[in-house]
Amino acid sequence: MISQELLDLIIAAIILSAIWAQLGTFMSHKVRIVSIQSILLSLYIIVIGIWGADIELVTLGILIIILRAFLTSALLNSKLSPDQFVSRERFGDASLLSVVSIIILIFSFLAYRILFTPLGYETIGDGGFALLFQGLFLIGSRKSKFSQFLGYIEEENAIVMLGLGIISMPLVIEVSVLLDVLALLIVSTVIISDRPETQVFEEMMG
Amino acid sequence: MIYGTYLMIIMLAIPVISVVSYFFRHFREISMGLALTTLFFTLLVFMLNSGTYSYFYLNNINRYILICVSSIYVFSVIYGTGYHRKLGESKHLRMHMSMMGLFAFTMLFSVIINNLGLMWIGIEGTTASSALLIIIEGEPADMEAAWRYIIIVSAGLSIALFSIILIYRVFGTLEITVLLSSSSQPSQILVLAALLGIIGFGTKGGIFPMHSWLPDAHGRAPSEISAMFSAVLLPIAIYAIYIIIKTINITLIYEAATLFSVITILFVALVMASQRDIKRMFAYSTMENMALILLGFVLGNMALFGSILIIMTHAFAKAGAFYSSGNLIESYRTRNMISIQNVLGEQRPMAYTLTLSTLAVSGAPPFGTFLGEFFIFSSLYSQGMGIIMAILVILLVIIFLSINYKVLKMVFSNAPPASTPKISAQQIFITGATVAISGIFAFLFMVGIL
Repeated sequence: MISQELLDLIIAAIILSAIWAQLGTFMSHKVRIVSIQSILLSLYIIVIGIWGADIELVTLGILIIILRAFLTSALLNSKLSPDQFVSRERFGDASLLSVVSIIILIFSFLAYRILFTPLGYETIGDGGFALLFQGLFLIGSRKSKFSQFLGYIEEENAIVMLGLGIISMPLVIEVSVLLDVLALLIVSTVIISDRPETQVFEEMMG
Repeated sequence: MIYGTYLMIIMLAIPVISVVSYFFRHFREISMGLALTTLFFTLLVFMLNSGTYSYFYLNNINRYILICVSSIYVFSVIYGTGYHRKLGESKHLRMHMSMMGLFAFTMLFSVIINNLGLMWIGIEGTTASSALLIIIEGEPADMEAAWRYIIIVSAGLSIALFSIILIYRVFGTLEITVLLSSSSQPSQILVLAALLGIIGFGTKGGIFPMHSWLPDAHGRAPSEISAMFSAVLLPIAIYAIYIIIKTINITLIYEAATLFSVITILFVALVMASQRDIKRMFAYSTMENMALILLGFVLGNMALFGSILIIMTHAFAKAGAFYSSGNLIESYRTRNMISIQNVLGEQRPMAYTLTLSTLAVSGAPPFGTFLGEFFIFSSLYSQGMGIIMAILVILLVIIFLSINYKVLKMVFSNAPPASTPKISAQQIFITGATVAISGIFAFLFMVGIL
């Protein structure tokens, strides 16, 4: 019997990885930490899959490791400069970002408890809801396209967690979502490699 | 039933097969031929009875969207071969033509699949298959627009996926036919699911406040792709919202969707007059039309019919407007409307198509959009929302005047002869054809065919 505390510890580690991704500056480290986040998520899924003798969950966990943890990070790393200082992200006030991150985290925990009480409380759902907002914040607060895409990956991880907390979707849909995200990543790498940071164009105003 | 299923599978398979045109020297002809074949099979599907066909579902809304998708796909492929003729047989153009097939497939799949989860996957697939279509010209601004499109739409659609998870939890199924026929007690979770669905799919459908990708992507994409985005991609997202609000069927959600529609139209009325880029102006006009379609879906009955009329007329008229814009951009080498002058003297056919398509998309009689708006406003009034109707009428008049003033200024302004290069006959023909088709829907309604 696996203790619930161990599973909760994995969820806490996933949340911590999201905070780390917010504050890290070296892009290669950020890619790695989001990859670790996906591995932790798949570990959680595989453990509860084995625990509940659910082959679909085990399959989903394995697919997340292959497609999201390894293939995604390999694709993103292939577009990063080997010199980590070249692909270092420069953003404004790190202390402000960390405070905002924590406030969003607390807000999301509270919101989950208020909104989803009718469905019964699940730690994984709560963690997913927190990760969803962290991902959105990463997308909204950065100029780097790499960071924005990592935010999107976090968001997709969050949806998987929310699904586990609320109800597991049919495997065919979960797998299709994984493949969709992968296809999007392949397309995105073409665009990211051209200019790694978002820009402001006068003709795109108004 | 099996015949219908086979027809749908063939209809979906042909645009996928067109991807292999990349490997052939006559890729243009192959793409055009397969697009026409797709349209032929879509017409056969259109004639089937409503109902479920294995994994697919046909009703009296999505059959019209299917026709629009396939028709605009055909027109855009033909237009694109002329518009990008300078690219010759380059790898870029081959890839562009191939991806158009995939893009058409994902749209057709999203409309016809009888599963809300797979519909989401199809709609997300449209993002992956169409992002590269924006960047064929490879300018830095195109890259930026494509990136904004990917990241904003994908982030929004993730929210829609969350909505789908909640719906699955409550109803225990994602089969659209079952969802539409089932009933549920109003609950906090369902309200949340519906709101997330409206915001999530509304991101793709150009509904305020998640619309910010839309003017950028429409503005920077080549004209045939802007046409596909505006004419058919966005109505598909609005159709997804329709499925969600009809499934959840709570008064509060109808009110929320009405509010989103009104705010979207208000936003367009505020920004329309300040537009300088011709394609961004038409992109904002698309937002107005999508908001009206959503409003018609919410109100139901005659308003629903009004929405279908707007979908059909807008699809062809907006394609005509974007093709006309593309021709003018090619001719005048600018997107800025201040620099596009004396179109009547320089490019007479474009003066006609641009004026007529603009009148059609802005809801002028006798176009179907006018009739559609009339049905929607009648429903608003009959359902006791006369004040909202009055506000919307004022906003639509503002939008109508803003857009038509800018277009007429381009068409009739006096400027010294600039000897702009002539547009290819192929482009003129396609532009004229779409504008002509946009004019027939009101007539079809009058004679009782539609």
